[in-house]
Amino acid sequence: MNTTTTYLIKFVLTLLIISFWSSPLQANEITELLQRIEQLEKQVAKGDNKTNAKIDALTDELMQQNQRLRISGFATVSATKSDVDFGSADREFTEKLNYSTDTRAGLQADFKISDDWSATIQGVATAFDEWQTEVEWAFIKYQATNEISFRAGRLRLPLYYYSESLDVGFAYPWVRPPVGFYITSLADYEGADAHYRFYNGDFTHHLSLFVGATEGTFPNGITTSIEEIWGGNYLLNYQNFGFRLAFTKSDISIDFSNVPFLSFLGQQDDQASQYITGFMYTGENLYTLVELSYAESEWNVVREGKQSHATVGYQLGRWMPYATYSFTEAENAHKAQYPQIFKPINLENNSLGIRFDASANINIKFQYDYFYNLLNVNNFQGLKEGTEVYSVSINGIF
Amino acid sequence: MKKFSIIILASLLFSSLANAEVLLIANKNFPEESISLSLVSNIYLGRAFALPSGAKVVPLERPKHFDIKANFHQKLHGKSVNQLNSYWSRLIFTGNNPPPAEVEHDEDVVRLVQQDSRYIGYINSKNLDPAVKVLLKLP
Repeated sequence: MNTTTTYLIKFVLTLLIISFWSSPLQANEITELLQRIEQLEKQVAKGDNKTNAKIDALTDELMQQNQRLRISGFATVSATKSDVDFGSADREFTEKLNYSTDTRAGLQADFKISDDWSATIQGVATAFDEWQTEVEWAFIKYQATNEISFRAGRLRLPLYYYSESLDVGFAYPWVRPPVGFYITSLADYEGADAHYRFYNGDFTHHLSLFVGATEGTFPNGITTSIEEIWGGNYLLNYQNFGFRLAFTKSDISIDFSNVPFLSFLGQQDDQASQYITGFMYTGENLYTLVELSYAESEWNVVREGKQSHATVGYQLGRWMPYATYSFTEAENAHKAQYPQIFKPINLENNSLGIRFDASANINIKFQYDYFYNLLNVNNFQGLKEGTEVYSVSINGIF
Repeated sequence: MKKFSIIILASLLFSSLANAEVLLIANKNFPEESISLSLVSNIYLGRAFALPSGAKVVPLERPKHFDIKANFHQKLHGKSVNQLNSYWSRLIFTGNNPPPAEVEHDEDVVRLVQQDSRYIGYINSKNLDPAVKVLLKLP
């Protein structure tokens, strides 16, 4: 473009000179015109330099976007009201308007060390935990090829579709992931994972394997330590369809010594497996997510059971009404060594809600929850048959 | 009458602007002459990173408040910027992959694509430059 401009200017000026030539023209006028040409040429050259400088600046900026320390964050502010007081390991619902149930904020720093190496750390603080900041992610990542990467450090257990983004209210449709399904007391582990991503035709595949260890204490005083957990994940995407398979195997040791009436059990070991399958469709308007999980154990201290949830939402402009059904159930323990600690469990939960897209990175959700067919729901102390919960949350990312 | 024709002219101009195509462009040395809609969709969703031949592709994204971003993603895979952001937030905050780098102006996308044959980017058809290759038209 710039050389064309130069030629154009020269051409026009030459024409001018010629046309002036035909009329009597003084020598000094010609010199002036020639000087003007020189000036214009210089200006064009300067323009070229400017363009080059602009490209350099752009490339730098892009490099910076890829290289520099990248800070991102998310936050949820919520208010809930329940008709009874009840709580789980990391949430509390009260008859009084409660601003802490889902209120939380997180900050993440990604640092690209080199083309292949990067480091990520994420801290999350919840109002429920009196704003104590927990490091939820802290890992080093090595990108071996376009398709293969490895991570090591503190990671999140990749059990369900949203298990790794439990705190990011902006990422999922609900005010909170279905509580009976997404048990969040044990969410992190220390270990490593490997990822392999590839595609053929319109199908994309994401395979991962992980291994690590973790421990946690439940509100009823039971300390669970998973000395070894390993598992795999497979995510298949075809256009708007997604299909997910996951499994985990763990060696679990549970300490009952601080639990009233069960302290005689002391420490007990068990082996457990979990099999998870998920199906999703995320179209222009329709949102669907169905997940099923089945747990198997030696029935020593870990129970067998199944749980599931199904969510359907439909986007209407900036609004998305959604409905969710979830259940958790565990049968009576016939094989159990200590049947007295295994009472059958049942919990069902219906949610109805609507999400409003306030801006490209802020949404507001209103949700109604109903809990029923309850049986021995020890994970939710205080929860009563027919409990209703109303929630509103504002979620943002930056 | 004069006023009237100006209005007609203006409305013609605006409608032609509104109907401007979104073009997916690449370097002249980009290994392919065209690219499938679904592969572009997967590249912009961080699910695919290379061409079938194995050549790496780096997508250039546009800032979220730019109309062309909404336009492009609507035409590409029927996603609103909000849906896209919620999709990416799940990936970003699980340490999966960083989102594509954002470039402000059409002219800058053109310049960057000219610089590096791995880049693909989208621009308004009215800012097309003959120095780059059009891989896909999104009417």
